[in-house]
Amino acid sequence: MAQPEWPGPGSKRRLMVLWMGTVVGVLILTGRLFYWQVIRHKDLKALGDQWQFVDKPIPALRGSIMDQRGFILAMDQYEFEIYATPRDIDDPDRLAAELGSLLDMDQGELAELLSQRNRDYVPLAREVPLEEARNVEEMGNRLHVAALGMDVDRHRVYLERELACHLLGFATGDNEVFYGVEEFYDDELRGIDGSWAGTGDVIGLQIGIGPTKVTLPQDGRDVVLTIDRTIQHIAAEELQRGIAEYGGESGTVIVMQPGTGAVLAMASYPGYDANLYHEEATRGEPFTDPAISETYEPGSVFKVITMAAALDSGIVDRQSFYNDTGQIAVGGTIIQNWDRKAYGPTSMTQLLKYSLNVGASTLSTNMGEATFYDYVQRFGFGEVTGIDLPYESPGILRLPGEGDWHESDLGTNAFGQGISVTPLQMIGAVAAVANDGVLPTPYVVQRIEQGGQVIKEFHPQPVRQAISASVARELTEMLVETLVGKENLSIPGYTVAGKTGTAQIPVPGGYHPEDTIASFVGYAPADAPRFIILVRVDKPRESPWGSVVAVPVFRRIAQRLFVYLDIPPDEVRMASR
Amino acid sequence: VSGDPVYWPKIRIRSTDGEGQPSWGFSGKNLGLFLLLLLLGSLIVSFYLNQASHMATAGLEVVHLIEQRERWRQDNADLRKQVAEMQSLSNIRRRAELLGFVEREGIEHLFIASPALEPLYQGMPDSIPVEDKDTVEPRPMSSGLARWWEELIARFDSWMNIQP
Repeated sequence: MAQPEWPGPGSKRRLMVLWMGTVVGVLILTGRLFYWQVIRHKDLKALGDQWQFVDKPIPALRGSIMDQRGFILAMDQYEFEIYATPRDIDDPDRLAAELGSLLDMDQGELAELLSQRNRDYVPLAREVPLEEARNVEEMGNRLHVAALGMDVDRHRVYLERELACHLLGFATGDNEVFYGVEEFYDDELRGIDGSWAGTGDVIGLQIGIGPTKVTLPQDGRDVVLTIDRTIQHIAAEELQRGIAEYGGESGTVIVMQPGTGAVLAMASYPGYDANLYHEEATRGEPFTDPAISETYEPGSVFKVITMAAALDSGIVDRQSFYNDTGQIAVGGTIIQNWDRKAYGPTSMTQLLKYSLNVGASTLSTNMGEATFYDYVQRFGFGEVTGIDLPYESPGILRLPGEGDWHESDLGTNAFGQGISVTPLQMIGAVAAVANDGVLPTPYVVQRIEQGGQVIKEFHPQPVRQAISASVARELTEMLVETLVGKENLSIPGYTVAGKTGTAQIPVPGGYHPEDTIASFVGYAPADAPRFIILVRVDKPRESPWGSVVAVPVFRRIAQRLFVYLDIPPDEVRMASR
Repeated sequence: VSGDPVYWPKIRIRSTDGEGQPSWGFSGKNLGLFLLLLLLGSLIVSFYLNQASHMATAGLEVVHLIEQRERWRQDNADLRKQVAEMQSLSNIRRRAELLGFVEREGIEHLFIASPALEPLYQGMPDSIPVEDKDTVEPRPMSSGLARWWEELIARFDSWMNIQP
C-alpha cells in the first residue's frame, strides 16, 4: 500500500509557520533572558542579595578606662536580646515555663508572646546578661528548640558609679559619647565593629547555608588615667562632707602633682551615677565638668599671682613694706580691704596673711599694666591649660587696649575680682609656684594600652617658666608663714603653703550681697610638694569665708593623703636626707 | 528524508539503518570511548564534589571557630567585669568592714639612727660545705649592732605600751 506523502499538501506552509514561530519565540525568550540576566544583572543581584543576605554587626567592645593603679573605672560588657520565631514553636506553654524561670519573667505573658503564630519575630527580653543568655541557649539546645535566637550588643558600665563622673563623661549604648575622657579619647576607646554577612531567611535571621563572610571585630584601646581612684574617693567624700557641713550648693576639688601636672583627682559636687545618665539628662542638667568648664572670680587666692609677679619683677622683695591706708583709688574706683580697716606699714607676708586688697592693688598699680598682665598671662590665665579634656574654658581676662577693659581692672584684678578663671587654671598657676616657677600642663591620661601593650605614653609638658625658681621658693616660704597659727589648718608634723579666697559672685549690676565662693589652694609638704589641692565651695550658708569653709576640707584631704601616699613628717624627711 | 531544511534541524546522525531511520547501535570502539569519557567525567565530578565538600566543611569549621572565639571573647569580657566588680572600691570597703578593718588614721614614724658602720648581718661564712649548711650557726652579731638592735626593740616596746 502506498504511503501518503508526508507532509501532505498544505502542511508544509503550516509547518514553516510553526517553525518560524518557534524560532521567533526562542529569540524573544533569549532576548528577555539576555535582558534579565545580563542587562539587569547588577540591580537584580543587589535586590536578591538584599532579600537573601543579612549583614549583622558583631559589636566591638569599647576600651576600658582605668585609674593609675589599673583599677577599672569604665568598661564594656556584652548584653543580649532574646527573641523567638513563634511559627516554629510546638509547645508554647512548656517553653514559656522554662524561659520564665530563666529570665525571671511572667510565664503567662511569655506564653502569650510565644503563641502569636502569625508573627515571624517576637522580642522576648532585652539587656539580658551573658550568664542568663547562656542558660537560655543551653535550655534551647536541651529541648531542641530552634525557635529561640539572640542578638548580641554592648553596654557601658561605670563600676564606681558617681566617682569621677564629670571627668569620665559617658558613652551611650549607641556609642555616642558625651564630654570627659570618653569624648576626648573616643578615637582610642572606640573599637571597630565586625560583621557576619551570609544567607538569611525571610525575616532576616541567619541560616547556615551559602557563603558567609565574617569580619572580626577589633576592640578599642584601654586608657590609663593619672587619677588614683582612692584619692578621687577621698576628694569626693571630703568635698561632699564639707558642702553638707557648711550648707554649700556645689563645689569642686582638684588634686594634682605640682611637679608634673598629673591630675590625681578631680571631683565636683553634685554628681550623678554615670550608669543612669539618661535620668540626669531628663533633669535637664547640662553635662559639663565644672573643674574645667565653669569659671568663677577667684578672689584672694589670686593674690599669690600678684605677689609672684611683684617679687619676680623686682618692684618689691620679701622684706618690703607698704603703708596700708585702708583704701586706694584705681581708675576712679575706691578699693578697700575686706574688713574696711587700715593696716599701716605692712610687710609682703602680712599682705598675704591678712589678705589685703589694698596691698594687692598697690602692687599691681606699681607694676603697671604691661608688667602685671604679662605675668597674669605667663601664669596661663586667659588661655586654656591644654588639659586632655574637651570643652575647657579659657576664662575671662580683659586686657588693656581691649574695649571692655577699664583702668580700675588693674586694681581689682590684683585681688581676683573682675577676672574669671576655671578651677584648673587656678590650681595650675599656684602649682607653678610650688614647682619652682614652672607652669605645668595638667593632664589626666598617662598612657594608652591594647592587650596590655603600651601604645602611647604621655609625659609631663612644662608650659613655661612663669617666675624664677628663687622667687617661687621665697613665695612658698611666705605662704607657709601666712598659715602659721591657723588652727583649722594645723596638720602636726607637716608644713603647708597655701592661700584662702573668698570671692563675691557677680550678678547684673554688681555683686550678690550674700553669696560667695569659698576657696583654698594649698600644697604640701611645702619644701618638696607631693600634691597641691584646690577646694572650692559655692554659696556656703554657714559662713562665707574660704578660711572657714574650704580650709577644713583641704586639711582633711591633706591628712588622709599624707597617710595614703606614705609621706613622712617633715622632721623624719629632713633627718633622712 | 530528503534533507529538507524545514523538517529537520541540521544535525545529522552518522549511523543510519537501511531504511533511513537513526540507528543507536554502538561499535565496541565507541562504547569504550564512551565509558572512558564517563569515567573521566565521573572522576572530575567526584574530585570537584570532594573539593567542594572539603571547602564547605572547612568553611563551616571556620564559622564555628569564629563563633567559638566570639563566645570566648564574651566569656572573657564577663570574667573581666566580675573581677573588676570584686575589685571595686565599694566592694573592697564593704568586705574590709566585714573583716573588721578600719581606715588608718595616721602613721607614726619612729626615727632610728643608723647603726655603727659595720655589716648589719655577717651571715654565713662563704665556704661552708653543702652538707654542713643546715647545721652551721650564723655568726653572732657584733656587740655594737646588738646594742643598736636592743635599743630599737626597747623603743618599739615603749611605743607599743603607750598605744591605747
